[in-house]
This record gives sequence, C-alpha cells and structure tokens, in this order.
Amino acid sequence: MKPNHRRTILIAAIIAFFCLAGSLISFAMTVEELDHRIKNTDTTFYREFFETTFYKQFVQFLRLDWLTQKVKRTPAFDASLFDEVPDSAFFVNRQGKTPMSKEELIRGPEKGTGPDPAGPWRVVKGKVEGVSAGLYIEDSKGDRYLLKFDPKDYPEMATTAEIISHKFFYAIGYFVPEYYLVHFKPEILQVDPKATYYNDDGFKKQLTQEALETILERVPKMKGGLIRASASKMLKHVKGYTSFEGRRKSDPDDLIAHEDRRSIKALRVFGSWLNHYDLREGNTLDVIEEENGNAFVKHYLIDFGATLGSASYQPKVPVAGHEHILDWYEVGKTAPTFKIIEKPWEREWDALKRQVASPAIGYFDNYQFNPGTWKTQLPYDVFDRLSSAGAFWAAKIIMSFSNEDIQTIVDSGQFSDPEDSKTIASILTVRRDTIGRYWFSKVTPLDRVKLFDLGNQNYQIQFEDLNVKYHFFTEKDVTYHFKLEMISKKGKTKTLPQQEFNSSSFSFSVPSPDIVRINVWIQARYGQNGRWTHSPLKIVLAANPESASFSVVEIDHGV
Amino acid sequence: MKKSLYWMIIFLAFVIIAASAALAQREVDYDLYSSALKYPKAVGPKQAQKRELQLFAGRILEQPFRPIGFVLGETAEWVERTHTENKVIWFFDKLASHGVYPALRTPHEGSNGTLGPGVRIQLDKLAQIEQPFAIVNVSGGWTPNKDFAGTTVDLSTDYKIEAPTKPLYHKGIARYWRSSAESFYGIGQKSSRGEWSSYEPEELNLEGKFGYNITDNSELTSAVVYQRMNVGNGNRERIGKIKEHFGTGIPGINGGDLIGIKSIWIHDNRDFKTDPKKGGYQSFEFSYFHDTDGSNLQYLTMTGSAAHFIPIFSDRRILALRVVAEKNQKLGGDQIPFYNMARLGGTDIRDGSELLRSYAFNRYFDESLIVANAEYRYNIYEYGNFAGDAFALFDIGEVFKEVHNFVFDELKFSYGGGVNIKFRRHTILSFVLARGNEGWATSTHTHVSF
Repeated sequence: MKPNHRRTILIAAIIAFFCLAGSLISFAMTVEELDHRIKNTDTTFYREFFETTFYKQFVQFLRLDWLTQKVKRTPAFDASLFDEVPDSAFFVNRQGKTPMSKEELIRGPEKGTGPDPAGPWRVVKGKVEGVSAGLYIEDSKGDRYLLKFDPKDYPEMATTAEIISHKFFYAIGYFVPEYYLVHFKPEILQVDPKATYYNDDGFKKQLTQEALETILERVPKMKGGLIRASASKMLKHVKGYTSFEGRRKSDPDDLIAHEDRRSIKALRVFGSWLNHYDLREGNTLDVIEEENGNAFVKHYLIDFGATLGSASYQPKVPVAGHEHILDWYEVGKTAPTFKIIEKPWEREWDALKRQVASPAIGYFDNYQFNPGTWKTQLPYDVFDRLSSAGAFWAAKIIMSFSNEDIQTIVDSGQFSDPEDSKTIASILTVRRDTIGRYWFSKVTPLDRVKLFDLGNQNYQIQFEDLNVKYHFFTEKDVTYHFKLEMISKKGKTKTLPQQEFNSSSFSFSVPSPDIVRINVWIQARYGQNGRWTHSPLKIVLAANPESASFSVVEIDHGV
Repeated sequence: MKKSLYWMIIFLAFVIIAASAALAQREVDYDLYSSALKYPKAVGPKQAQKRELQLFAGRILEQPFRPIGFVLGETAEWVERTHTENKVIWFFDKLASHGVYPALRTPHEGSNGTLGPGVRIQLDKLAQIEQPFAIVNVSGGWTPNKDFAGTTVDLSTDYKIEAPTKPLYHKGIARYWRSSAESFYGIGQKSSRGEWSSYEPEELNLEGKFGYNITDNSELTSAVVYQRMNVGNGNRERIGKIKEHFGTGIPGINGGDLIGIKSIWIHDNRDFKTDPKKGGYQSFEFSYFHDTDGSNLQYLTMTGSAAHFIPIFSDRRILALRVVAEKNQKLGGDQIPFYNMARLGGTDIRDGSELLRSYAFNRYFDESLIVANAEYRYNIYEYGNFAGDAFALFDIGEVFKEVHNFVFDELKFSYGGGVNIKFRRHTILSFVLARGNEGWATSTHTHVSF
C-alpha cells in the first residue's frame, strides 16, 4: 500500500465495482442478452464422483499450482481490505454483519407462502436426479415447485434437514432457493397427461395415477394420511452449476477463479457445522437474475436434504464427515496398520450399537467431530485451499448465531417430537462452539477493530476478542502484545519495541507528523502457559492528508 | 433554590466533561463491509486470463491425461443420465426371472484377467413352470486362454427334486468338461518346475445323489458317480507334452472309465457365505472308485476340511483359518489316476487344486495332501454398501504318498496379501499377491479365497 491510501482505496473500490466477479451491481445487460451470452453447464453425481475421486486425486500431483498451494496458500481474492467478504453474487453479509431478527431467521429466503395447500397441484414430472423420491408440481397460482419426501422408515429426517439447513445457509449469507415445508393430502395431486418419470428400471415412462400411487407408497404418511414434503420453488433462467475450479468465462462478472474465493472455500467450515457432506458442484445453481434493470449471474446453493443426520434416502453412514466416499489417503493409512486400532468413528458407531437414536434425526452427533479434519463426501481441492483467515471468517459468522437463533431455526423444521428439536439445536450449539474454538486458535481472533483519535497525535485501538466474547477464555486469561512499525513520507521505517497489555484496547502516540503509515501487529496469549498466537492480526493505519488524522485502511488475519 | 442550582451546576459539569471526553476520543470510522478488495490488482479480465495461462502452464504435465478425465467424466454422466446402471440391473433381473443366469468363466491358470462367457439356464423357470419341488439346470461356458493357446469348455445339466414334506432331495448331474491344456509337473512333492508339461483332459461325469438336510446348517449326501476321462497331450507351445515327457509311468495317463460311490457330510454355519465374519464350515467325504474298462484303477478317498472365521474383538478384524487333509488309498494293487489325485498349488479352490497361492496351479500331485490356509482380514474401507478388506495370507501344505512319507521339511509355504472389494457383503473383486520359494504370483477373483 503506497502512501496515497485514499487513492488506492478509491481505485480498489472502482475496480471492485466493475470487476468483482458476480457483483450485484453489474454491467447493464438484459436477462435475455445475458441468457444468450452465458453458456449452459451441466454435471451429475457420477461425473463428479469419477472426476474428483479417480481422475483429480491422481493428476493433482502433476499440477504445479496444487503443489505450490501445499507450501503456500493463495490468498482469497474476494476478501476485502478489512478481511471480510464483500457482498457479491456469491455471498451477501447477513447474520455476520447484523444479527437477524427471529422473524427474519424463521422466514429465511422465503418470499411467499409456498404452494397453496388447498390444491390442486399438477404433477408435471417425476424427479430424476439424486437419490430421494420427488415430484415436480405446479400449484394453482402457476408456480412450480420440487417436492421431496422423507424415506419411509425415517419420517421427517430429510425434509427437516432441508428446511433447517437452507435457512442457516441463507442467514450465513449464501443464496438459496425458497423451501417450504408442506403437508398435503395425496388427493390434491393431479397428474399432467404429459408427465413422465423414470421407473426403478431406468426407463422413461408416462407418469400415470397408478405410478404416482406407487411412488407415494414409499413415502411415510403423517396423521390423517397427510404427506410431508419440502417444496423448493423452481428458479428461472438456470444456467447450470457453479464450478469449484476456474470461472465461468462467458460470465463477464466472473473474474476470480472460484478456488480463490473465500466464500466458496469456506463452505467447508459452514458444511462442517451443518454436516453438509454433499457439498458439491451438482448442488449449486447459476441463475440469471435482474435487479434495477441489470442482469447478472447469481450463484445458489441447493439441495440440503443430506445435511445434519440425513443422507436424504437414509441416515448418514457413520463414516460421513470423517472420510471421503473413497478416501485414498485413509485407505492407504489404514492398510499398513493391520487395523490394530479402530478408527474413532468406528468405536463411536459400535458404542451406539450401530443404530441411530432417532429416525427423525438420523445419524448426527459431535463425539468425534473435528472441524479441522471434517470432510465432504467428494474430495474438492477448493476446500483444502481454505486458509486459517478464511476459516476464522467463517467461524465468526457461525459464532454469531446465538443459542436462541439456533433453536429458532431448528424449531422451524417442525419436528413432531420437541425432543428431536432440542437435540438438533444442542448438537449445533456444541458444534458451533467447537468450530469457534478450533478456528479461533489458528489466528489472533480479534474482531471489530476500532480506532480512536485521542488528540495530539495520540490514538487508541479497541477490539473485540472473540475468544473472550464467546467465553472460551476470560479476560483475566488473556495477555496481548502489540508491535508498531512507522513509515515516514520518505519511506523510512521505524519499528517500536513490543508492548504487552491486558485489556481489549491500547494507546500509542505518533512521534512525528512525517509518519504516513503505521503497521500494527497484535498477538494474544491465552492462559498462563499458553503460546502467543501463531498468526498476528495486522492493522494498517494510514494518514489522511486532509484531516491530518490516521484511519484504518487494512485488516489482515494472515493468509 | 440553592439546592436546584447546585444540581444544575453538577449536571452541566457532567455534560461538559462527557462532551469533551467524547470529542477527545473521536472514533475514526471506516466501513468494515467495504467492497474494496485486498488484492485489486489480481482481479480483472486481463488478470483472469493471465492466471488461466499460468494455470495451464502449471498443469502442462497433466495435459496428456486430460482425455482420460474427459472420457471418464462423459461416460459417468452418460451412464447416470440414461440410467444405464438401472437398465443393466433390470436386464439381468429380467434374465433371472426367466431362469437365465449369465456368468463369467476364468481359465485355471495363465492369462491373468482373461474372461470367458458362461451361462446357467434354469429350465423350469424358463418354461414358467412354477413349483417348489424341482429345479432343472443346463449350463455351459467357454474361456479363451492366450497363454495356453487354447480354450476351456464346460457343459452340464442337473436336476434337483425335493421331497414335499421331508428334508430329502435327489440330484442328478451330467457334466462334460474339456481343456486344451492343463499343467502337470509330475507326481510327488519333489517334482520339479523343469518337468513342466501339459495334458488335455476331457471328462464326462454323471452323478446321482441323494441328500438329507439334517439341520438348517448340515446335510448328508450319498452319490453314485460315473467318470469317463480321456487324456491327451496338452496343446501348449514350448511346454512338454505329458505323454512324450513322462511316457507311460503316470497312472491314468491314458484316461479311464471309473464308477464310484461317495458320501459327504457338510456343516456350514457361516454368517455370510460371500463374506464370512463368524462361524465356519466342516466337511468330510468318503468315496470309492473302480475302473470299468480294465485299466486297473481302484481306490478309496477320504477328505476332511474345516474352516473357521474368528472375529478379533470386532467384526472388522477376522482371522480366517482353513485346513484340508486328503488321503487316497490304492486298493487291490490297482492305481489311482493322476487326474483324481490330491492337487496342490494355485489361487482358487474351485479349480480343484488346493490353495498354495505363490505356486502354480496343479503344481503338486500325489495320493495324499495336507494344507492349511490362514488369512487375517481387516477392514480398510467402508462407506455405506461398499467396503474393502485388506488381508495378509499364509499357506502351508504338502503332498505325499503315504502318511509316513509326510516330512515337515518338505512343507511348502506361501505368504503375501491382498484386497477384497465388497458390495453389500458380496466380494466383487479380490486381488492376491503371494510369494514363496518359486517366486511371486498374482491373481484376481470375484470371490473370497475361502
């Protein structure tokens, strides 16, 4: 950062304005123009499985960028000067910026009330993709929805997971479709004469009333013969999926390789919280939308049925979250050991007598949960590229959900048994704290930095220590030190001696009016015998030539 | 009045102090959620293109493999979009519903990975005759064997009739089998690899059997057997031919007609036959054979085998143990044909030669045999329906003429390991790598070793 910081910030802001991939404020293009320009993409689970598990797992050793990434992480190019992720078509700051109200949390992305329960619902197609049963319907208002059901032996499991998790992802800041929990009588379903579906034998057939009844026979029935389903409102102008590697070249706004986006890399942390092991390209959607006359590509996350304890069609397998679907590293690690020691998740599963406690929850607990080693079903390099600073950013958003917030969202999943709701909320609460503790320990977890001008070239920096804020440590347990590096107009650098302090603020003086930039490094030590945090928080202050005062121009938690 | 003035002064003083403190401690505000990027120079159309070029250069070594990834991805997507996997299952289910069971055949030795087609047809199902008492099968198969420059053919038919109320059944089997070349190294534990020759067996086997299910886990069967065997020189290049190499010194080298009776007791309480984790099986066979063509063949056979599967504190660690002993006893000064002798060597007990996995198929022939196999199987992978076991193996065995000829020093052994890949506890692929005094051997199967 050169001395003329205002100019630099201005240039950065202008570049961000025009170039930030997926910026909400985009080039003035109509939906039709953009629709014509953006190429459609498509993927399937099998493709992703074979590509990620067999092809990329081996050719990655031939990729220099992968090898260098192992030595030094590439910074997140969508991170702001203040180490946040600015609003974009990938992510919008919501709960992390300003706590959402109870009503906002319950409402989530929903703009309406869902399909009219009075019916009739015209069934236009059977669901083909994925593993759970589903139907595409059109309600009496002409809106189209995808209905997804619970597995027969696990009522409420998948639908609850979908409702709860999509609201969490929305509150975190991602774009998700509208999902409604619906209870309906099968009689309101009317099969469109042109409706088709794929039968169990893989053949495309006309969806007859008889076939519909066969599909619905596999679905659990609630009291009064009602069927419970999650209804996701169909998005329009869909252009395929969001790749986790590279960028969509036909999108003029997409200028940052997705593997360099913190908002995508950090999905691993959010996924670990909500046990979303099915985070993959196929569960994203790129959609052309229009705001204020400008069309742009918005990036959605979809399909949350395989979150929490659910794997959509059955409870999660015990290994989920601990290993990839075919984890070469784990297989290679286990083979030479002759299985003398069983894996932690195996011991846990055995301790539970290999049974899930509640069919509505599936398999979900925290006993062997490790935020640092949690894995998605398919191995994606983008998740391995997450830096400690990126994970800290994600963890502090997760920590911003209070116990009440969590319970509020979980309750909106409408478990029949309130105990299930309490259990899920309790697991998420403990998991939230585990994630916070873990990732806060990888950086200097100071946030909400404030600079005060005390007059006469004296300044004070205040911050929130998130370890203290969330009661992982008390104020008495913490010691801080800061180091100042002052840079003059002529480029001369003077480093001042390190100073220790115990409160969440410290003051310093600027000795000369020639100083134009001050780099501040702060580290913390937790507990009597604790070590200084490995990665210091860096705050850059720059002199404002007009007001002769310093201001914060950069915050960095490290790469 | 005075009092109120006093309080007014205090209040004003407080306001002044607070205001001056606030003024003195002015917060220098900034927008934490500013859209200004930390690395603006890294973001832009030109930068994106530059980075893509850098990535391409950094991945230049990968480029030759790209077509593999492309084909893999396209194929996988095509399979999923067209629901090919469901259609394939449907196809085989449909065949099975008509009593047609396709299968794959593998040659007994050589041509690792070579497969041939086979089929079993259940005629009563094919004719849609629904009854629970009788089953009639015909089956056949063919395998190429590039290494042996020949083929193997098998044809068979069998029927089974079950008593409606009693645990009794009758089974009849007719089997024809021919191989253009099978290995033969001579008789005895001291036979040499240098004596490697091949013979061409052609066998017709007729069997009438009565069985009694003593319990759900055990049965006793008795059978009358007719065996017609023709033996010719094996059709394999650069390998000696049995009749030229060994002359007439080998009993049964000209084939023979045999008739015999046999009784077998089997007890099997394995929890899962295709992936046993507990339980075991035991069997004992007693049989008598006599020639019908004056070829001076007459003998008794006694074979006992036992296997046990022991979980070691967990069903993820299994110790699998197996022992087999066979004794063929000549009677009346007659001979035991070599093709019915005990055989040792190879990786698949279904082929008739006992497991000694670093040794070649049919490596040792003699009148008696003892062999023990041990495997320590342990789970290395599990994800839903898929699982994988690694195993360490140890085989030890010996063939000998009489019991008193058994010598510990002559025991041959193999050690090694492998991997079993399983789907819903069915072993779908098994890789074995074994080593012994005669070197390394590898093999691939679609079932567990035992």
